[in-house]
Amino acid sequence: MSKDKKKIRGYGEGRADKVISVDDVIEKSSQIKSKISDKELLSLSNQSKFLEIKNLVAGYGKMEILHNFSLTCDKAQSLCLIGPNGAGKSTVLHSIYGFTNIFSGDVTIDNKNVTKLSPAEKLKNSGVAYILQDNSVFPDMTVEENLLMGGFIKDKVEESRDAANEVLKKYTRLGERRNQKAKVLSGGERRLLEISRALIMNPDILLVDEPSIGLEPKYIDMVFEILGDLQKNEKKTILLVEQNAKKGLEFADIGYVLVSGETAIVGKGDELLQNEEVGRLFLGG
Amino acid sequence: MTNILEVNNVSKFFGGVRANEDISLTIKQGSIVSLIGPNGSGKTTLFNSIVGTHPIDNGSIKFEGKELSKMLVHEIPPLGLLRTFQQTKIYGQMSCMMNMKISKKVSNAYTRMFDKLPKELDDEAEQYLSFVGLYEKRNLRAGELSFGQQKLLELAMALMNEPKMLMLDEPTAGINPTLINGIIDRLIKINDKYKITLFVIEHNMRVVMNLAQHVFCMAHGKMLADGTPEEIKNDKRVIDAYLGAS
Repeated sequence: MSKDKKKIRGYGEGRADKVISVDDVIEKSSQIKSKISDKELLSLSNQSKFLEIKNLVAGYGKMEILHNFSLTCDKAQSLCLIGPNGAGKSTVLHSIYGFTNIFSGDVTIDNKNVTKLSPAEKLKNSGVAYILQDNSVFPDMTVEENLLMGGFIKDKVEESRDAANEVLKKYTRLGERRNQKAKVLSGGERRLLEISRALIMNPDILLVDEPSIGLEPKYIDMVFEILGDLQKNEKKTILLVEQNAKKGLEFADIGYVLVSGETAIVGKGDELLQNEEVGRLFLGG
Repeated sequence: MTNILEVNNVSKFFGGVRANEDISLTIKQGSIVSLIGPNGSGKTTLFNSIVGTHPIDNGSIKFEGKELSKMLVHEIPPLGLLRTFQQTKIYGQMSCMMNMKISKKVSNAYTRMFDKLPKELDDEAEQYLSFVGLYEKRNLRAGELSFGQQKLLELAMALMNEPKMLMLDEPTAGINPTLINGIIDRLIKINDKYKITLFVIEHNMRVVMNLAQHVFCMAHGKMLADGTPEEIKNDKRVIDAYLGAS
């Protein structure tokens, strides 16, 4: 790829005259969908099964949303799930964390089967943290108190305090406001607080649900820079769901395109960005 | 062209917070206008001020020459001014058709609330549902639609009242890029076919650039700049406050 490639900023730009209905997207993508082998998935994750989802069937209540879904991801790798609304992207994150009903299949982390663990157990023992979609700071607590809430599950509050101090030292924007209520933070600072609150438990895997939703353009780039730093410098594995698909694929090492609860296409993030079919059906042209 | 909406020197304070300070803007009848600005810059507050959700502290808001700022919130939609919200407001347990039919406001009299829904509404509801591309799904429960389709349903529900002007709060947030194109396309058609003036809060510059003829940008409760999309995109103040350095 050429070096002078224009970086995608904010929500991206371009025309918007390619109009396809959701039903057409689903129909067309089921035509181009190929059987994706485990081998293909493994080659994308450098043959590693640090995080593995195998033949997962999961959903909410009796409703089945993911049908036989598989995924592999290496340590310190980033993977972005894109696809239409309702394709099951968030359900993948929810299933890893334990928010869904798992009918069959397995989730393993570092060779340990964690399928049946509760979210609290995963947070505490399996090194998985989940960063919610949109607005999850406690507005009337201070920045520091919000961070401490990230460690509510720890036995001693001192442990959280040390971790919080580390975070406040690293992110000076938050450090300057440690004793201010979270409600006075700007949108970008709130998102930073949400991300850094998840760091209190020192997780290996970050599940990030739509980091750019509702965020002004300026901060979108900032949020992805922060995630990039966590991946490269702190070796976090990052799994994200992103409607801002261009930005998400540009960021991630691997991209999975989900349609109706199944994987339609997989590839390296920047390869998918260049893929004409993906562009037409999922990136808005 | 005449101005359909005139906002003059509007201020709204919440305690010590100056959410809107001395805001003025005009919107021409039949145009599509966008409102951008950082999170917390006062865009939604301005929308709320216009539709009468809360009283304003200062200034005047005129819709087709009528002063709105002293009117009650339920008195404003019958004038032909409607808004939608960031989160969808639909009735998930009801069918799409039912959602459409109960959206039509017949009268403000409480006794009319229990009237039977007139049969003619069916045709009207079907017509708007097919306009937004949801005709095949008209008998499904609205809760079964995807989030993007719920946004389209909400748009169709607003059309049931044949508004003169629609105010939309982030119509494309959380929607995948392909369906965003569909929404932009529908909004342009709504403007063109039904001659409805549109006033749209949006963060996605791809949407703004492809939709709006004129853009206002707010920051810290004040009006920072306004101009054509191209002017706004290259305005140094807007880049510093909102878009970020390129």
